[in-house]
Amino acid sequence: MRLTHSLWKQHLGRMAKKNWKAHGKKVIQESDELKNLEQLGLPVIDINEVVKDMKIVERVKEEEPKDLKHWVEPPPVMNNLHPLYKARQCYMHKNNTVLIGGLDQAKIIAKAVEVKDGLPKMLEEKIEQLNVADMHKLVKRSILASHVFDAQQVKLPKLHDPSRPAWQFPRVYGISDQRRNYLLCEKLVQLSNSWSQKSSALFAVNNGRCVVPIEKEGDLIQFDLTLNMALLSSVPHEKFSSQEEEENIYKIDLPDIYPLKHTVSCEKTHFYESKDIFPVNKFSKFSHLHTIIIHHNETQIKNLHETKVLEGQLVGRCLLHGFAAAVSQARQLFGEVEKELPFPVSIQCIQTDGRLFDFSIFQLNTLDLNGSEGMKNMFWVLPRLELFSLCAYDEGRPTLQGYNPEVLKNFMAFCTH
Amino acid sequence: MSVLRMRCHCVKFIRRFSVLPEYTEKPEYPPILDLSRDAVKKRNDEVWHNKIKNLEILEEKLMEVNMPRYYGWPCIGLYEGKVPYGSLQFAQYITRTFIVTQQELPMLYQAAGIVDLCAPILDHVKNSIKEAIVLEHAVERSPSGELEDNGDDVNELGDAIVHQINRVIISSLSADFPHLQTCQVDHFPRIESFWIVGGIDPPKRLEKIRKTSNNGDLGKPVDVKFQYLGRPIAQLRHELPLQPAAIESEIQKIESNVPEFHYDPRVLGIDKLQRHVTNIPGFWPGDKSEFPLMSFHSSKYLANRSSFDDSEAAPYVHAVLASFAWLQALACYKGFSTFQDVTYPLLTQTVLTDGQYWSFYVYQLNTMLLHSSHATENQKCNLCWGTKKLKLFDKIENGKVVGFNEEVLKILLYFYLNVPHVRSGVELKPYLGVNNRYIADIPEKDKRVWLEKHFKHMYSNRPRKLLADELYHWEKIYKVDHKTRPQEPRRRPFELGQVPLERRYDDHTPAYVRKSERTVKWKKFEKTYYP
Repeated sequence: MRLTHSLWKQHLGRMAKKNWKAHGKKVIQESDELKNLEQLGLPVIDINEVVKDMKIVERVKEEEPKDLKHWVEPPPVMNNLHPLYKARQCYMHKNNTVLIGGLDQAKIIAKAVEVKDGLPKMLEEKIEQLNVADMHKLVKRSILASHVFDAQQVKLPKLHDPSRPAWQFPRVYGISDQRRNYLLCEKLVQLSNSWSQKSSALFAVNNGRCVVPIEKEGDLIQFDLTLNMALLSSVPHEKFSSQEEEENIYKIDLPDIYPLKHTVSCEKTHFYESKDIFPVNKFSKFSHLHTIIIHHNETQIKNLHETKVLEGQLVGRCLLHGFAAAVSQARQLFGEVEKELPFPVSIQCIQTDGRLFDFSIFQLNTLDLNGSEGMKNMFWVLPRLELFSLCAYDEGRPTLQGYNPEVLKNFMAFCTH
Repeated sequence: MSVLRMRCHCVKFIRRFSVLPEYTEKPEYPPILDLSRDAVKKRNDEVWHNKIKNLEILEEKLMEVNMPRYYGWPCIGLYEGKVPYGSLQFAQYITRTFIVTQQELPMLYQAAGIVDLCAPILDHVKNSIKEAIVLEHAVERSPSGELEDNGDDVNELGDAIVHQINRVIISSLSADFPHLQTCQVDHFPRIESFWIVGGIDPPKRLEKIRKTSNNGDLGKPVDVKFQYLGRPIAQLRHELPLQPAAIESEIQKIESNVPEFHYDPRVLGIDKLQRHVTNIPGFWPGDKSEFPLMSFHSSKYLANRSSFDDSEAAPYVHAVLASFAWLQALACYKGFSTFQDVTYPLLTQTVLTDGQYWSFYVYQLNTMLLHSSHATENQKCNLCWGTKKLKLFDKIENGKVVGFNEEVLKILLYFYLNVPHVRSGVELKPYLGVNNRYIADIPEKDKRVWLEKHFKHMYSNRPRKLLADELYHWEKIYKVDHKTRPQEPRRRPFELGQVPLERRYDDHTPAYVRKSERTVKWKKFEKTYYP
């Protein structure tokens, strides 16, 4: 036991003395073992007789082999002997990367232009005609269930008040942002599946992996993304663009982010494996990406230089997810394509952080991403929509304020298109 | 005060309160109380149980159970999927469950007319489910660092198949069965459930103490507190309850002998926990969908139990504990508790699966009063019907399901087609207030905000900043076992007759209120609203 100040005071000398005295007075008692054994007629042999002929064999020390493997493998040395080392540098675009150049930089990488404000015409017409009046009650319930009534209690990020930077708020325990987004999207997709008549046409899959390398202006850019939720169908989308919009592509220029290069704020690495992974392999009939839903988890998506993530950056992230998914789909359908695709591959993309929704569509027309001339890809995006203004315990009461029915309309339209 | 004024004061006092007649026709004797130690203890316990019963707000009831202990109750921890070998008798005893073998599970649904509904729906849904299974096998998943990680027994594929099948069935059937559209689906919810079971052998340490105190308690059985912590794959809840599978008269016909297991649960290798006991059926109070429909649990761990053949018993243990725990927690959300029994039966349907192998269980909760003598003397018991392990499919080959077994899908559909109904003629929440049921209903803002914060804090089970006082090893040797330090002043809790672990939850100075935030200048500490 630890020798503390209090214990030090205990005078142990007395105990030691008593110990010696007691053991000194000890008399070795005769045990009844021998007597009992003789009574039973069992032979009694003196141990010393048995041991007399035994020899003590000295243990031979084994020589330690010189290239002894470590019990714990040392971390791999990141040099040119590493199995994943490549001489050519790769710009890695991971799931939580946001670009410093925002939407403009994303457009340049994907060689995409916004041909129209808002969504394509046919989708807008559909949204207007949609009647989801009887679903709003269920959606409000789902919002409360995923934001307020779920019983997870984990430590949430620290609260900050910019006007009082030194003030430390008590830590809040509640639902983590990943779980909240996961639950909300699951419930909304479930509701849209129940509501639509052709419910057997789409399957939802969680956390599909999408890895796709692309060549642009002599740079290798690799996307390694998690599609938090992917709705899959057995048939590809029809193209969203109208004749007029296709002609407009040539009239609209790509944005210019000089002096930034299009690969700025992508992680540069020499250790990668250049491969194509599509979330669903061809065995399943349902291998066409219909819609992807990606989560904006505030705890994971941060800028390298610790400034606040801007709306433009998040819309850019949405664009690139749509782009990567479309490229991956195109490669799965057509194999290695260099230039224009036989028919355009379209992906609908919804990004959410539990409250704010970005609805966008990416149409991949060509995989020739060099330069800013020629055929380009198309991108439509709606301005940010708020699902509600407040959903939390307000003064001890679970409240939902400022519910916006537009979000459900758009969501349903996307999921049932 | 002068003598005259005091006399007037007394006269006024007597005038006001001497209204009751001192003499009546017949003598009214007070009840003769049994003054034996057991009876006195029982009456004292009942005072506390009645306090819980009379609290109107649900969260106050849940908090009151923890009020006697600042550092939490010592309880036995039961975890989802941690099934000790040979523990079926134990599971049955602590949940008072009788496993019904006379009646096959599908027969229950025949009586309700569900089996006849099933055939056309099966054809409609069959193909979608096959596609779903193929799809999940074809998906390339990202390493999931996103949701909670459970270690070796994580079965991503199996869980994904369950979610997929659930989605498919609900989408297909919502139009004709509106209860599926309005049900709430929880994904990996947090299930915590607490109950007390009596009639268990006392531990050796307690017997040793009892020998020295000579109270006549030697050999008397003990109450053990159980805390179940579960994590089902998914569960479905609805605003209305399912109809019970067996009514009172039928229960008596079924010969129910619940096995006895009076040994200390630690003989099975289950460990103790010290925590604030919680009852959480996967959601916070206030959610309207508070009756169970069904729950799905992962049975992947069953594949790794090769050294001891309990493949028949282990799934039952899991199903019984999981069903009882969920129903118990749901019952607590209606105002019942481990001290106040349910007044009507609750039914749930449980599915144990790893994606390929499925087993189905129906559990009816008739009683949850198991503490003290109720463990053996309770006339009611809970019932569990179950199936064997069934294979849904053999394997996936070239994008096709091989060996698809429709029988499994049929039983699963029976579960979904079991429509909940309004339970008429029964008061569903007899022990909750009529107008004020939840914290949200409390009109006073301060009380509401304070209670909400402290209820959630208690239920988060955050570790305390300062630990309870401990008896250091040297103190045990030199002060307790052998009194070698008479010179030291007696300041430690064990020397003053205090038991640190018996500190009450509200035994602390309340939070300090800064001068600028005070309503009354001299009230330094905030008002507490402990139940």
